[in-house]
Amino acid sequence: MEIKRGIAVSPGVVIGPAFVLDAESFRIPNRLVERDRLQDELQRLRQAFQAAAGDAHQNQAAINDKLGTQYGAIFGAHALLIEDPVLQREIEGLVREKSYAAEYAVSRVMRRHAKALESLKRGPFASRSADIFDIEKCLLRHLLGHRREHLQDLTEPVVVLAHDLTPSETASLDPKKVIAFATEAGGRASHTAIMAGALEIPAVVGLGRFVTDISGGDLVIVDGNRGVLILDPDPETQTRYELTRRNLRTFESDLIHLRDLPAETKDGTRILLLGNIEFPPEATHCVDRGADGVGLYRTEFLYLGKTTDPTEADHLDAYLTVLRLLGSKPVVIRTLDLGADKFSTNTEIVAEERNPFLGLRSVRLCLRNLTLFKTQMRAILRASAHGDVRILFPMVSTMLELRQCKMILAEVKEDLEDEGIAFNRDLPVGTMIEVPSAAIMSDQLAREVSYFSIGTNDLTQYTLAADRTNETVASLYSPGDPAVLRLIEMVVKAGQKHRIEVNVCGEMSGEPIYTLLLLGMGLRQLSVTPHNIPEIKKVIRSATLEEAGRVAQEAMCLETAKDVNNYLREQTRRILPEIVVP
Amino acid sequence: MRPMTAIIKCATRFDCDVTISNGPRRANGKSMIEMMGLDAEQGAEVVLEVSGPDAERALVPLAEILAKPEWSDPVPPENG
Repeated sequence: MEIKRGIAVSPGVVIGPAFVLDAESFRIPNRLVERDRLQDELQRLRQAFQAAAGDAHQNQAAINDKLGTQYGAIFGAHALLIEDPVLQREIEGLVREKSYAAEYAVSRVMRRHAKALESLKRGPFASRSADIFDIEKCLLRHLLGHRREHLQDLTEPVVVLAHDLTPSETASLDPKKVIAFATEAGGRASHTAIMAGALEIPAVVGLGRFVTDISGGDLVIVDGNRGVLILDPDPETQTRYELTRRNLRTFESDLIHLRDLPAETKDGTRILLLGNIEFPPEATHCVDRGADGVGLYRTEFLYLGKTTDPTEADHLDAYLTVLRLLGSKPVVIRTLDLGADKFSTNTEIVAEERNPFLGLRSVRLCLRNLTLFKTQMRAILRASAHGDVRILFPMVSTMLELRQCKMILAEVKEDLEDEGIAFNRDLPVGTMIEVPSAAIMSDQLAREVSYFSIGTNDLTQYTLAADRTNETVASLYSPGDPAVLRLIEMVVKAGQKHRIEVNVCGEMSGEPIYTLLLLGMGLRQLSVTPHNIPEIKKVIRSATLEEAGRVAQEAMCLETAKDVNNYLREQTRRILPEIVVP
Repeated sequence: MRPMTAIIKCATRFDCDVTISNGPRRANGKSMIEMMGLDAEQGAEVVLEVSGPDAERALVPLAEILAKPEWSDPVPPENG
């Protein structure tokens, strides 16, 4: 049993068989075979060894001709590995004594050796694990014939394990078949993490190396609440997790019946609970959970992993899909919030940025790439003729920037007018408050927009100057930090003074321990991941504004994030004892 | 990899047991995977043991390969 810790990006606890996604997406169909099949298995194995050795010799001859014996020798070494009597004995031993299927035996033995090689510090052979994997693939290819299974061919629910998942792989995940996933790479804001949340599949990322320690079919536990991956759990651990899973499910099913109840405090104040989405189908989640609308439609996925920029039609198609699902409920569409580094079609020669988070991203990028910006604006405006659409600008850091965005918007409106295309002339315009300068200037910015959306993720990072994906400083990051709270308060007050709407759309809004605080500070709108809507609603319905106000006041007197979080946890448990908070 | 290939190919010709040791690590001289685990750097001193029917005949050829300058050569270029 091995316990690995990573970043929890999508909640839920799952126990299931591993599906290891390596570069060739091999899937080991069965771990064991019946005893009367053993002779057949051994025969298959021998044939595979012979065929693979044949391949290696052939390759050697061919490469000898083409590039010389120095390079051909590599395949000679491969042949020797395949023909290695010690390896063959080990693999056959597993089949004979433990009834392992040929594929499983090959994979287990190879991966064990690869791991052992990787732990060699000196010498030239530490990097030779790549050769072992090569042989493994070779043998599996022969054993499986052309029956290489892909993610699409899954026949039973699995936990997908990989180094990383590409956008197309994640997009094709079927939540019914992929019950969880875990990756070596990735951070909280990586597209893998976003997808997991969007698809509501429990997931942990940023685990570091582990894929080579496991074979397809092995049992694993993914704890998407705590960010833990357990490989090959022992029976005691399995039992413990089964219990946790059942407890969580009970709590969750209690929450489902909340769908049709309003998000209203005990003393009768209606709070708007909106949903954050990335993809059109997620709008269904919002509706299913009884959201009052979409408070944040992140549009980055239209750009990620594509070879060309999305056209106006691509944008419009996605927006209209969402609007159809949301009916008359409001939908806030945020313009592109990506950095230059994420762009495959970036035509501007941008030298690699030393500080991408302080660099050319979001509206800064858009203001330098007006075609990009205007295309998206056109689509948003056109969509506004079909539903309650609002536009939101990310990462605005100065008044000038905001005014520039509004000017471009005005130009696009004129263009559409000239072309006779319908749109809402009074399209509400809002800005994200996520850069500290914007929070500090919120009093001035409030005059120029219809609403604010506080992006607490980035606001917290920029304010505390800490990268939450950097484990060495991640502990500094907390939305409950007194500095962040003061900035939020500033923004809320500015909104109240100029009578504009203010909501919080960062993760903070979806964490139940902050609900009382946010309500008490004066917020009346929260935009959260659809998964969290029932839980937040429950907190709202268990609280009075008076209580919330007192809690907020107390919290604002505390000096450290730790004190704030502890206090809030305590207060939340007081009004809702059965809540499960980490 | 070349010296190892040569050793293994040679060792496999004989019936006797062949063991090569690098400090505490021991490897079956006919097994590529075990030889890789020897983790021997260039110029390392290794011990050759042979035992069995044709052990004496195996000793000299194997010792020659081990002693060759190739074994002390820099590692051949990585591929892929």
